[in-house]
Amino acid sequence: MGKRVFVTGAGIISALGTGNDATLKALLEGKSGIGKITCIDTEHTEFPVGEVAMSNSEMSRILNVNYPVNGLRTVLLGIFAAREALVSASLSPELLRSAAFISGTTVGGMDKTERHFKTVFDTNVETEDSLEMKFNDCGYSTELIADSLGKFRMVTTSSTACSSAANAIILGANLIKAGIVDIAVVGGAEALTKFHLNGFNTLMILDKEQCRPFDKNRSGINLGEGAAYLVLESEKSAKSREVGIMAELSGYANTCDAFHQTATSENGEGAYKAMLKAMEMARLTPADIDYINAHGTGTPNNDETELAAMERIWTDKLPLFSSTKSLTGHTTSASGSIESVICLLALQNGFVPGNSGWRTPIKENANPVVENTPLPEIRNIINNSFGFGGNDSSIIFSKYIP
Amino acid sequence: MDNLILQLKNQIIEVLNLEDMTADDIATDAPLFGEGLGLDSIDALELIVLLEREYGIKLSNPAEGKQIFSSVASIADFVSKNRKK
Amino acid sequence: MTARCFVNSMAQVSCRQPLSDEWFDNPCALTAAYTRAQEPDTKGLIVPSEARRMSKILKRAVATSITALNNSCVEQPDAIITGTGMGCMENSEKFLVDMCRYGENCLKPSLFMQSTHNTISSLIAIILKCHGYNNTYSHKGISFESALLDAFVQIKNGNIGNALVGAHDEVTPFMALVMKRTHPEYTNITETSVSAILSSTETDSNICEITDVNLFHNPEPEFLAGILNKTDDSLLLLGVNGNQLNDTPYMSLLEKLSYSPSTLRYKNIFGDNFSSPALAFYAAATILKQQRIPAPLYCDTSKNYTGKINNITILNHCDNTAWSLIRLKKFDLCGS
Repeated sequence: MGKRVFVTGAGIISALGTGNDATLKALLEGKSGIGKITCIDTEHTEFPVGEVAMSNSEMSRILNVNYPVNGLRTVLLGIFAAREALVSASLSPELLRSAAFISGTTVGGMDKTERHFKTVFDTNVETEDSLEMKFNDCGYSTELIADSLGKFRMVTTSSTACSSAANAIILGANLIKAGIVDIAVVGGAEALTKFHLNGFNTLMILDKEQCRPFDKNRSGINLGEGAAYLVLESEKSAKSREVGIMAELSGYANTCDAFHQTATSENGEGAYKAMLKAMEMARLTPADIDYINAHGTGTPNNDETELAAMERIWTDKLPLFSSTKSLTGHTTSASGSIESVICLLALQNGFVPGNSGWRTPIKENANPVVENTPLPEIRNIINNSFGFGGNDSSIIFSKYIP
Repeated sequence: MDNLILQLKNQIIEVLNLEDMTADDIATDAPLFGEGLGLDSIDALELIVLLEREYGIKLSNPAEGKQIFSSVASIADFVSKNRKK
Repeated sequence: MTARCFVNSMAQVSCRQPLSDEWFDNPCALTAAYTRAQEPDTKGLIVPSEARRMSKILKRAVATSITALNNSCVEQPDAIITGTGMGCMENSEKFLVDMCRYGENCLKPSLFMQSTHNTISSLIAIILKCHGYNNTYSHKGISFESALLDAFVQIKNGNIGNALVGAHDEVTPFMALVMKRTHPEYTNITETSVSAILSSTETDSNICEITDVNLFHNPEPEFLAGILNKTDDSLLLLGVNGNQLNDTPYMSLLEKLSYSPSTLRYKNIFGDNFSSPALAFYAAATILKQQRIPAPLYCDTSKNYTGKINNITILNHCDNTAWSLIRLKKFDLCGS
């Protein structure tokens, strides 16, 4: 596995704003994007969320897109972020023809399906509404995003719930290392839907206040939405194009907790193994890690076991860590790439983003970074993404050293 | 009370898909979780849904369920005191 | 990319006799527009107390996975990688139906918990206590090939020594009605559950070797023909199903070939769903092992293939946007 993989482009949209610049500004100001839910028709307005502050029609107008894209929020969000990623990596249409597009999503076109399902199910299947259900499948969403960008050589979709985007990044890196492609546009997109808002509510893990990851009194998740994509590139390709290198994707690992569909094992076995294996690939020791962008959902279960896993690796002193989900909300399938872009911004601008909303320690020596903190010497960052079923992925971004 | 207990046992078998069990297989005072039927946290959430759908009782904190769901007898006791339908 | 990638064992659940190769000796064409899978006997494969929460697709996936694993040279897989176009559709549908019926209250957590696409891969990992790589792909009709590509690349570069790769799709009666509208190109809607153990180990129990896995997005027929013309692949297994909308892209490709291959089909036996390419993979592997081709699999019976069966190239498309190409090679111990 000697081949190196670089990040040469990034794009993001979330409750923190549209684009890298707006996101950086919000992070530096420590401004949270959590607020009242408006974009979906739900009675559960008691749960705050991290919404992108634009309606589907506003986004469609700005992006200049029509049917069916204009009715698929995941796709609209995806196009915003992916377009920015391509521009920032100066990718020409010609380069896309040999590139891969890999996107993570679980919701896909569920927003459309849930709008049409009742009519189709209650009345009859012969209505036009049933045709709209074609877009339910995750692959359609990914293809619509890809086709809005240009002509890719290959397109596919990873779907592992809240680690989907992280796993899209991992496949992209593996394809580059195998020499199958030189460039992969990877990440994820996920819109809020009534389906998964209610789904998470059945698990009784949604917080009615701004979520407080790693706080003793944390009581659950704020859901969020958004999209982010990275442009991954082989060394050969990046150097021949003389494109700016944002970071090196120095290590990554995907493991399974293999414990329960929704609960995590007590000692965080999956998370422990994922971080350890990622460091092994990056040839880094625990002391080399300057910051961990934790999965940190704010549920009692996740944060406790993620902390337990970190403490198994860093037995003396934990590195600086924070969860940015109290700023963006838990953007589920997109969180792996949204938080990757946040890590890239931290690496490029020399700071650690704060874990907003945190007040009470769980125990001694286990406190996250609360306010954003300058860290000019930051070199290596771990980004954790854990999904249902114990799908645990860790990704390491390192400062580029030629 | 006996009718309610039998009804609850059948409802528990149905919502938790305890396929090979009958009401007679569940002892009224035996613990449902841990050592008992081997139920987990998701089953506890399913029982919360059962109380709301069938008896109009709303539990907003899963921790409240711990005591209530310790046995069929304790559920029956709680239901008979709090049921809205 | 120096290691080799072999198929060591396989198991299927489909409209044919489950967990068996019986169809190979008695292949008969499907006639019904919608045929559900024949449920496997899960006794000895699934512990009853674990089965209580499993929907049909989960039971089938566990049954094929455990069967494939039991028949393989692998005890604990290094990776579990799944393709599923629609994921746990039955649970998703029930959750949506409950939302119509009960509104946004009193919804069932176990339905949501087991509605995501990766429920399948993680359930298998939980049963096997397998902490290895675990991933799921959901990309229309190339979900299986995406999972296969992931495993193939990681075995070839030595990341992993073996993998449990599966493809699973269930189609409920309601979704079958919807699919008839959304996918008019499907002639016979069916269900699929296929599991395969891939391994880099050369052992005489290997079924065949995988020599290539490719995904293409919106490829021109000339582009695909160019790939095939270079190799002279004489046996092509195609996803044709007798529907013009579905078959025309395959015909356009065949017209561009500089040689005349024997063409095979499988959807007349196994039907159509997002995971059916996994049944093509299974059928081709079985043909390479058995060294004969059941008559109904020929697209054109006048072009029966008579030589030794060394390679089969599988081509599938979905919507003529997502294409896949898999090359399988006959396995000879210490040969080739």
